[in-house]
Amino acid sequence: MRTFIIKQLVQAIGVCLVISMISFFLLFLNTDPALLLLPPEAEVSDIAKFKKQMGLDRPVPVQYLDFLRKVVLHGDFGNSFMAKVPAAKLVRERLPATIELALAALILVNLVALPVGIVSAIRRYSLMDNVATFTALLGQAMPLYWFGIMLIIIFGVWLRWFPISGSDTWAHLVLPAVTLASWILPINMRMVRSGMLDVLNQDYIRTARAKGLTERKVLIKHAFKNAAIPVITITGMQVGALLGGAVVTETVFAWPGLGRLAVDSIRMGDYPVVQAIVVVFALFVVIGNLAADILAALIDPRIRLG
Amino acid sequence: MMGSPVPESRHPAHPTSAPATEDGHLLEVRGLKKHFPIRKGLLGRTVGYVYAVDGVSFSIRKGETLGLVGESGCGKSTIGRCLLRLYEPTAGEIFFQGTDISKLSAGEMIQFHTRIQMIFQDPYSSLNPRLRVREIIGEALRVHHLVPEGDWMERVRQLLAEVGLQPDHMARYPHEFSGGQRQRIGVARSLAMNPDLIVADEPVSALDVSIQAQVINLLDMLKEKHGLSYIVIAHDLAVVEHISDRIAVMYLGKLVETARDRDLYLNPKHPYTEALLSAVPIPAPGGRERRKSRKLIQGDVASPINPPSGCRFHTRCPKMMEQCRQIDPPLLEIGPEHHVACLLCGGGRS
Amino acid sequence: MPEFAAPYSDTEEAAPTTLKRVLQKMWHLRMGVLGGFLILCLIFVALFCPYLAPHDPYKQDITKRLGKPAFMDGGKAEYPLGTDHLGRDLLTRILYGTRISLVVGLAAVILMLTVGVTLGLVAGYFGGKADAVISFLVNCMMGFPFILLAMSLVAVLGASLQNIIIALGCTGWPVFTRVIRIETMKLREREFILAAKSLAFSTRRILARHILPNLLPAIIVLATVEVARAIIRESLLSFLGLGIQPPTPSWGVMLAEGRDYMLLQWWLAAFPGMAIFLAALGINLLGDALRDLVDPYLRKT
Repeated sequence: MRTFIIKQLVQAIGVCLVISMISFFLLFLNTDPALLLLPPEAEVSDIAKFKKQMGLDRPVPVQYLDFLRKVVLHGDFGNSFMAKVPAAKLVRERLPATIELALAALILVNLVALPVGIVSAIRRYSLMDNVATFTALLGQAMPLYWFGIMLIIIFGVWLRWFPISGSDTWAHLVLPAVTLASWILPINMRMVRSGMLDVLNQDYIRTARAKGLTERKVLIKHAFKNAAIPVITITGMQVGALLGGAVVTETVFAWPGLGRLAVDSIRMGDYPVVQAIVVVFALFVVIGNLAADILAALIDPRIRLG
Repeated sequence: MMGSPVPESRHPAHPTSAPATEDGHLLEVRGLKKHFPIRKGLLGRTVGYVYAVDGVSFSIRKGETLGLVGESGCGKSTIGRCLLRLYEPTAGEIFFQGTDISKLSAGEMIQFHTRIQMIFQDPYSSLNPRLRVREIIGEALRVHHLVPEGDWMERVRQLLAEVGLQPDHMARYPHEFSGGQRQRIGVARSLAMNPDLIVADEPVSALDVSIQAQVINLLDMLKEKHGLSYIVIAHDLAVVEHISDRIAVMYLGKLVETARDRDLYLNPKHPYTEALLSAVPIPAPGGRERRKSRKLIQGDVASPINPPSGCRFHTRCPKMMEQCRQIDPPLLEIGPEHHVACLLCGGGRS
Repeated sequence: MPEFAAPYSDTEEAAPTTLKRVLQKMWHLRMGVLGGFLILCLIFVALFCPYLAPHDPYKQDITKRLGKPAFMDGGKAEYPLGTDHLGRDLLTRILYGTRISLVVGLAAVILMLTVGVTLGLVAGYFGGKADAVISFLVNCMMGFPFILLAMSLVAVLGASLQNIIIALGCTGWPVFTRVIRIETMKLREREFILAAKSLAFSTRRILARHILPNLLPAIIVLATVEVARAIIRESLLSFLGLGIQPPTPSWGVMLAEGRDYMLLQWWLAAFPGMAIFLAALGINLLGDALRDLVDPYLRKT
């Protein structure tokens, strides 16, 4: 077990490193960073002097190592080009909003996916199951931002039930959370269903039934308990999708989180902020996957030995 | 059979008759070993080995059929694959027609691939499901230019007819055939290369008993017709009894007895062989007096990862002695072409 | 009746009644046909939109801006779905947008296929170090939200049709690699591959003639679904301003433009989105039906 965890950790760190490398080198792909920072009228000699000053004339790998050092040791991503404050500070300010949104969406998703998925598994091919499958199918084809905009139009404009932008009250949270939840829902429903099916087909369930336990007891005592854990692992694996959906949702609803910051920064070419966000996202994804993997290995020994 | 437009003579790389080693053997295996490493841990360290084949020596003459029998996991299939160089031998030599093929490079091996062919065990996975039968059989013909380009389909028809299938079936796909028919296709495929030696790896294990005899008879007939030599690998003595000239019995990676067909049945020396023989069903009561009682083997097969000390069979042998725990008996000759590896049967020269 | 009787028997759970199963199969088939039909419409529109569209997608007429769709009062029949903020006919632009979506979707998937399948084959067939490196790469890219990567790529390379296809292709290949790798590893052990080796076929021949054709069903199913996803992603990028640029009629661009007017002129956002939805739905339905078809076939062989 320990080797497994170590292996996964090493991989996780590797992934983070590679992603940080990619985000760093993106900066150099197209433009000379010095040109971005200086006003257009700058003279060539000024540019050269500026470069020396900022350390931008060193070989790229050296700059990368320096970047790495600053990030890992100090959490310093440099200053935002636009806002002239440390990029890390911006990120820290906006992070809670995104987490709030993501958590709300997760709760919503599980509120729906769990019962629906479980019932779908128990009563396979029933009406509920087919409706759920169909909804999942629709959900996969649905562009997230369109759904959000439709929600805005229907519930925000026509019916005026909810406010449509900003984040002051909990009412503001509803529409964005529902939108983001819809992004994850189809897959979650399907996974819960198949996880539950797997459990139900196990021999020990059949034994429990043969022992004479009531169906309800069988479900509660054995099935649920064992199906709960796959749900957690699924959530861990969905962190990436959740964050990606957050980017879009926040843009549509003008929600002041990391996602919107990311889009704006990329559009403006504010690379330090972009790098910071990329690294933060990567960390979340990696941690989520790591937790999911370890949990899965805890339950199913085959994973850690195979 | 109708006159063959394509003569059955050999591929240009083959001389007209297969040369042999000095003592006239087509194939001579010496000290063949194959150990599979077991890797564990963070860095994939090798923590042990599976001693699948641990020092096997035998030889075959041209036109001879050797039956190689043993339980599952005793290493017989591994030997077959080593002969085809599908696995790389860990140690030992394989002399085929005088050349040691165990160490040849891939390029050098190509000409030998045409001379040694294999028939596989599972008829449901040994044929490419996406290719038609004519392509399965004919691919080798075309890739290696064994026949002039325009004649390959005719040759495929010939081969199909030889194995007892309808030539106009060649446009069909494997899933349209039964297991026995698929095995015949596999035989046709290996015949396409005009081999000198065919290794049949459990050719009938996956077939119904009634079909098994048909396929074995087919192999026998082909052998007569084309002067082939066979190694037939099986876990059931009854299968090889009919077709083999000589039989080699394997246990846990080593040979325990080799003898001519009749000698093995009339005069088995190794306790394991005796037990195997006693398991062969007697077709009619009152037939074959020699088997009066079932000799059962105790215990489970020992593991090839950690073989028992001394004689590998000692943990299950009803005649075990104290020395058997310490000494691993070599394969010694005790009669004409009869070798045994057992301390109870002292022998002459090995 | 004793209380411990289960509401359904064990066997019923494992194998639903034949009737139900047949119904589901028919349902899938019908959905697949519907999907196929939708896709055919798409292709038809993409090919013939100059003849189908009532207007020029680029022609602006400020006097006619923000016109209502024909089915609302105040709308003119001349503009069936209304006009956008520059006076361009919405229906026309939606029809022309089909071309963009299909082209981008197909091109991106072809790129993904080429890279992804090759890497998957190499990783699956040769194993060892190559596999370790490739799997690591795949893991790196899989968990990461595609959006950030693609957005950054486009921002750096510049927003053009070509670059979007590149960005989509470069972020979408891991899906293929992962599946192909596993399937190749399973195939590698089948006896007909061993037979091919024993017949002294070159590795290239084995990969091309024996392994790849057996991967085709999986590839086709995957590629179909990925086209739908590529279309959605392209429109997403365009919506965020990092994709196709106006005035080219991409559905995503239209959605972005429509968003500014969604309070009053809701149709500007609703209809382009509906187009994306229908396109993706059609492709997904077809893909699902294909998967149903392919699975039993795989199992039979």
